[in-house]
Amino acid sequence: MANIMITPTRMELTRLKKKLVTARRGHKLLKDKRDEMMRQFLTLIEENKALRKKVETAIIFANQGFSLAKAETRSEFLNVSLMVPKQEVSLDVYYKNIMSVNVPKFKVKTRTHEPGDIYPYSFATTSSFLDDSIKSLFNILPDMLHLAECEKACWLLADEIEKTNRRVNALEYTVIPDTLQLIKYITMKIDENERSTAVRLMKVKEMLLTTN
Amino acid sequence: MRRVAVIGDKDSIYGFSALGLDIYPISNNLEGERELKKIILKNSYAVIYITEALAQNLKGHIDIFQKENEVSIVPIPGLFGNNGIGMKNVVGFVKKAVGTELDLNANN
Repeated sequence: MANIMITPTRMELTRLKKKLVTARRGHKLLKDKRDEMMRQFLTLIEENKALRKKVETAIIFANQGFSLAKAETRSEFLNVSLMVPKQEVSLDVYYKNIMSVNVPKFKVKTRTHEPGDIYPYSFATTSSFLDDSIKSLFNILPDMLHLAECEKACWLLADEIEKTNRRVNALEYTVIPDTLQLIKYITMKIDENERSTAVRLMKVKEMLLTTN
Repeated sequence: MRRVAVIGDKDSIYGFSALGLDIYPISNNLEGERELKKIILKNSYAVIYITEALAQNLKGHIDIFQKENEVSIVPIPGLFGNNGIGMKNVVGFVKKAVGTELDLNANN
């Protein structure tokens, strides 16, 4: 129990009762917030996991292709072929609000819309493995960006859920029980005072009656 | 307009330049740390992909950057040194939020 450092007055009692109402209301609200965030988080995490599996498989496939291309092509040709890319990706970032957590969303913009523009080299001097790998990376790029969104959202939500959880627990196990105990203490003190006043009055009355 | 960066050893990431992403090839962890800090300070990137081998070594820095910046740092498998840190991170999120590990494969 918290140290009793309060004066047992009616004013203090009213203040504490108000505090209790607020704490209970806050506790309920935060609990609801946490439950909803958890629901959203679990859907996101499932999505995140599926996306990651897909992206990792595609990148590993592409990497194998790059290794083979490196083995087949002279490194000078390979270096030159990817030196000046034709394509350029930029992102428009906007934010979506999930239970007061701002998670980023991306709108992808490319310099050209031609899908063939991902090959900035002549096919004569390079291996076909390079084409396959680049094609595979190009196909997975939207999912990669989606994965980035998803991972950041999961990171932010996990952080917020942890914070909310701590607040809910603090209210439930510390603030509300302490306030209840203080209210009990003040009520008992006031009742005790009332009783002693009544007894004193009776005693005085009795004394007055005996003297007369 | 923000852009996308890829950082890691050269052989693992050079293919991404064809797609129009900015690549930052590095040869060791120290250089990786320096380069990552530089990229973050530029503040012009929304997403940074980092090879798993490098992500493992810079884990502490990445956690701080994720917390303090709006940038999303995503580990991807490279040519070598893959350690599944990407998947481990996902499990870490669940552990942080739920307080325990969940078997997400249970209904798959």
